[in-house]
Amino acid sequence: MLYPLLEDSARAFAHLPAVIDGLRVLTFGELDAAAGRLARTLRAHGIGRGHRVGLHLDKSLEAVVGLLGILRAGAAYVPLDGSAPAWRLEFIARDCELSGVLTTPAWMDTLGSVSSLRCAILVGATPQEWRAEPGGPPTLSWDAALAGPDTSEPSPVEGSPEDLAYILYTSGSTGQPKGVMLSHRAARAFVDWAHAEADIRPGDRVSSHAPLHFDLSILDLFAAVKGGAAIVLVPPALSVFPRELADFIEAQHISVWYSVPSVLTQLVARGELGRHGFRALRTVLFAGEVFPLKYLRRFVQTLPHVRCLNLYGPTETNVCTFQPVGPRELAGTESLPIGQACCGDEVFLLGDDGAEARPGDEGELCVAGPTVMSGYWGMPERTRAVLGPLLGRARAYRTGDRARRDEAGVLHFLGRRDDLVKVRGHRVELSAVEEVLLRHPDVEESAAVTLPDELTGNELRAFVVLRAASAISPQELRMHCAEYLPRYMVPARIDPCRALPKTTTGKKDRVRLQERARELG
Amino acid sequence: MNQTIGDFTEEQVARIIRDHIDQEFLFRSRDAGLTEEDSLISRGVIDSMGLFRLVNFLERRFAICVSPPDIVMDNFRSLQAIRVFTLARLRARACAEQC
Repeated sequence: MLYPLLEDSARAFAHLPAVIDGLRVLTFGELDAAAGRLARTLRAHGIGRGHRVGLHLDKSLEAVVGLLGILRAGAAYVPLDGSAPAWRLEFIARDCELSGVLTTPAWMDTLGSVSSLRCAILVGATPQEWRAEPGGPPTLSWDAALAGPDTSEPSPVEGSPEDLAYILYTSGSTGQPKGVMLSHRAARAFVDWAHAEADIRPGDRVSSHAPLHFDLSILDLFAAVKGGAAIVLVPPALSVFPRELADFIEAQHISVWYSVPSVLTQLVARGELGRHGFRALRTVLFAGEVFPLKYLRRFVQTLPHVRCLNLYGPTETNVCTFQPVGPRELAGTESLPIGQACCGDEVFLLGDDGAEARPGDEGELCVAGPTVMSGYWGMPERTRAVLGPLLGRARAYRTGDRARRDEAGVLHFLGRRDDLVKVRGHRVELSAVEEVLLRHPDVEESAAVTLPDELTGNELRAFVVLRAASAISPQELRMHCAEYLPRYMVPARIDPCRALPKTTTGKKDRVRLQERARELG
Repeated sequence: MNQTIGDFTEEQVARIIRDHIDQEFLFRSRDAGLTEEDSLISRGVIDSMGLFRLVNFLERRFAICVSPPDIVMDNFRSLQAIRVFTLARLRARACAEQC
C-alpha cells in the first residue's frame, strides 16, 4: 500500500519538511495528521475503499494533503487537469463515478451536476461564502474538512495491494479520454525501485515538476515520502523561463530532479547553467519522450557530478525500463537506449510473426510484471485488446511501441505502431485531433502531424480542407479544438489547404504534410 | 503615448503585440477579455514553446535582439510587460544608431 510510506516517515522523520510550496512548509508529522483528518471527513461522508475521489486543484500544499488524505481513506484519487475543457472534466467525473471531489469554488461549476458526488471539498472558500446549488452535492470548506480532533489511535488503512490507488486519464483515439487504473501494488513496485535507484535520502529535496495528472508525479510524491525527503513544488510558470528555473533549482537545493526531457533541453540551451554549481543536485531522471542527444551530451558535460537516468514506460506500466546515462553511454552512439527492465518487470518483444523477436530483430515491446495496470476503467474490451496472456506470460501489456534488443541485451526504442505521438511528454493520438476538427461543420477533411524540433520537442500542426465558401479562420478552428481537447492537444497552427496530399495507397501523406508545415514556418 | 521610436510609434508597438497574441495564442473562450495586466503565464496563454515563438516574432517584427537573460518573467508576464520590454529594446537600438 502507498499510505504506510507516509506513516513510516511520520514516525521516523516527524520534524523533517515533507512538502515545500513556496514559503509554506509541512513536516511529515503535520502532513500525516492533516491527511488523517481529511480521510476522516471523507469517511464521514461514506467515502472509502472502492470509491474514487477527484483531485481538481492546482498543485499546492492542499493538493498534496488531499491526494494523501484520499489514499488514507482507502479510496483512489483521480487527478483532473485544471486547464482541460469543462466537457472533458465532466466526462471523467461521470465516467468513473466520482464519490467526492476536492476543488475550488471557481471550478465547482463544472462538476456540481455530477450525480455520484457525495461531497465536494472546496479549497479557498469559507462556508459563509459558499452556497450549495440546489440539487448539487453537499459542500464544505477546506478548513472545515480538516477540522476535528487528532484521534490518538487512527484506524489502520484499509485495503489490499490490488485496490486502485489512482486513475490517470489519457488521450483516447476517438477524443474520448480513457482511464488507466493503477493499483497500490503497481505503484509500490515502481516507487520502491525508484527510491533506491534515484538514491533518495532523508532531508533530500525532490522536485515536483510534473502536474498531478501526469504519471511522472508518482515518483516525485511517493519516492520522496518513502525516503523522508521533502517534495518541492515547482511553480508551473517557471517551466516557461529556463533561466529562472535554473535559479530555482539552485536556490531550493534540489537534490533529485525528475521531468520530461524538453524542460531539460530548455535548461541546457537557455538556462545559462554555468552561473550555478548545483552542488546539492545528485540525480536527474527524465522520461516521457526522447531526449535529443545533442542537448543530453551538453547537459551531462555541464553537470558531471550528477547521475542521469533515462526512464521508459507508458502510463499503463509506470516505468518498466531504465538506462543510466553518462559520458561513456553517450560516446559514439546515435540514439539513447531505453536500457534494461526494472521494477521486477519482464520486458520482451513480440515479432510480426507472433513469436518472440530474436536479439537484433524488431518487435512490439511487451511488459509483464508488478507495475502493469489493472486495466482501463469501464472498458473491458479495450483492456483485453492490450492486456492478457501472451507468449507464456499469464498477463502482459502490449505497449504499441516498437523496439529492438541488441546483442548486449539493451533495449532501443524505435517508434510507434500507430499514430500516437508525444508532445512534451503528453500522449497525443493524431486521429483524435483530426476527429475533433472534423466535428466542425466547415471542415471536410483534416490531418494532424507533428513537426519535430530538437530544442522545443514536437510541435502539433494541422491541415484542413474547408467546405467551399467557408469563411472560418484558423483562429476559430483552434477555439473549436480547445472546446474539446486539453491544451497540449490543440494544434499550434492550423492551415487550410485545397486538398490533403495522399500516398499511393490513398492514405494521408504525413511526410509531405510535415514538409509543408515546415515550409509554412 | 505616441512617441516614435525608430520605425514605430508606441501605439503601433502596442497594437502589433496585442494582435499577435490575439491571433496566435488566444483560442479559448475564457481568454476573452484579457487585460493588459493579466498574467499570460499563469492563465496558460503562453507556454514554454509559445514563449519562444513569441520571442522569434518580436525579434523579426521589430528587428530587436532578445538574449537569454531577457527571457524572464518580468519581461513577459503580461501584455504590458512585453510592450515595456519591446519599447526599451527599440529605444536602446534607436539610441545606439544615433550615437
